[in-house]
Amino acid sequence: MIRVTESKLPESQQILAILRRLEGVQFAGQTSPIPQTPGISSCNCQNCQCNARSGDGCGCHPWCMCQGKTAIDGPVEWLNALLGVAAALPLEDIRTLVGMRDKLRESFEKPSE
Amino acid sequence: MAQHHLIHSQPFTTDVFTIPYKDGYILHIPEPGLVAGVDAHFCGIIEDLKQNRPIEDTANNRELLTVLETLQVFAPKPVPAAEPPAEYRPTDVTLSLTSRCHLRCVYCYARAGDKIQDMPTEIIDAALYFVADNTVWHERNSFIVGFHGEGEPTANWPLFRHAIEQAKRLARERGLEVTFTMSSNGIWSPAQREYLADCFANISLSFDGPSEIQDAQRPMASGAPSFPTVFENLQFLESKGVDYGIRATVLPTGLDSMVPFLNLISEELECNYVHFEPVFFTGRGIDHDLGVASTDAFYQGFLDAYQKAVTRGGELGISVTYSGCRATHFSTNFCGSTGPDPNFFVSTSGIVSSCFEIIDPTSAKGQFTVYGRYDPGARRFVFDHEKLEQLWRFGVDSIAHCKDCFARWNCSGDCFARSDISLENGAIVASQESPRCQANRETTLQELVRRGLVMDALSRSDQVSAITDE
Repeated sequence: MIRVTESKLPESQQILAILRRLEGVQFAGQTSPIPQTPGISSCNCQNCQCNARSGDGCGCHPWCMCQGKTAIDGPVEWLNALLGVAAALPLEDIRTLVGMRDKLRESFEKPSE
Repeated sequence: MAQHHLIHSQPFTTDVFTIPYKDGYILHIPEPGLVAGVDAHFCGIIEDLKQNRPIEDTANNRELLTVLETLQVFAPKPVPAAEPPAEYRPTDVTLSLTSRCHLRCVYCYARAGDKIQDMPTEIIDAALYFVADNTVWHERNSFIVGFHGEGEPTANWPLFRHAIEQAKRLARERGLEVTFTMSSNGIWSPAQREYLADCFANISLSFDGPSEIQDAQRPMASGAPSFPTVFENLQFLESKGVDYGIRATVLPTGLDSMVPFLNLISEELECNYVHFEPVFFTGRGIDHDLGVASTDAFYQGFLDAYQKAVTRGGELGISVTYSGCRATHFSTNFCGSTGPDPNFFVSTSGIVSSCFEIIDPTSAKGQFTVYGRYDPGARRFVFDHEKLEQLWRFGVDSIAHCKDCFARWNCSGDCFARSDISLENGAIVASQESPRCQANRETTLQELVRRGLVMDALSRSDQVSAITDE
């Protein structure tokens, strides 16, 4: 449900890097993932960011093609785990999250036998 | 010593919200989609800018202004089109084939199975011809046929097969692709599921929880348990490589089962997407005692259970969602029930509505969402273009109680059918917050923070971390 690319903000990486350096800013990130389906200009589905406008997430809308799957298939599962970690962290503890990022990435890419 | 101040006279042209959170504030700029954790001093500077008050002339503040200018929060916004398109030519249709259902869910909004009504094949064919021909007219190469509505789409199997085969034929004759989508209860025979696996790339399954929850909330019409059949069919879909998502309705009795349900899914299935939705008090949900002593208390309970489920889902690699929590969403409309591209939903009797749940043209909301019907004499669909224009113009900015809400571009006014909006002749005459609003705000805020933190962590290289740590 989360994508790595931060493309919607103009010059996003640089701007976010500047913002993070400002006094009083604990963290900064982009909330909007990018649509995945080629040729679809407006994507506003909460679920999958494909080309859908599904309402209550039931996949009912004819445009809801992937019902939540695409956005988590595109990137990798450990991002969900990182979201879970973030839910339990104090705001200022971004350093712990950065550390967890690499550990989780490794653990999901090399699952234990 | 005299203080120097920066005077910045340009107003914000987009919403900039500062929301109290723990010991600090969350800066939320829905467009272009930025979230940051800031302290009280920083928040004060943002508020000064919002009020066009001068701010202190410091290097920090000058950089802040540069950031905000680059984010285009002062830039003029494009003016949307003033008029809707002259012709209505949808290329996707959702058919409500039948009111039959194998189950008697205790909360069913449609009271499926109580009365039997099937869509005549004449209406099915007319709807399919209409969208297939529109697809050619638009010079597109594919159209979508969805199944949803008053009952279980597969419950009248011959009718369901007719619709699928007819759509395939029309697509083939026109050199088009057709994609099928469906919300289903998962009660299929072995032969039926083989057919479904051939036709559908993904299916949305209503499946409420472990057996004690599923069987109590979604019993078969006979009262027998439905869990074993649904569970076996999910495993079958997985064996055939069909994607599916689970949508679970949560009742007060099910709040404590959300995390165990995720554990069960993780252990027994490969599904990595679960949508939890608090029960809606409509249809059969009004008839039964669903154990809700207080709506506010229920939503608070849901909120707590949902946050636990999100955390557990994270641990298990399962995405957990709720429709009111839409941190990545930026839109004027919650779904296709309102807005510039309304759903083309056809009921069993040929009524056309933008909302799958509101098909009574005499109800207050139905007078708004029902915009057409099948005309048997003319053998085609006829539309009320005034109503289409009303739908076209309707967005979250039409809803007074959403005006100052930080989540308004995320939840977009919430589900139209659930919202506490009173309409007369297609115009809003009153609106107020629904019991969902608080849950929507809290879950959205939590999700914003999580996403902001994770996106921050993802984009910090070790080198950058080292710099910021200094």
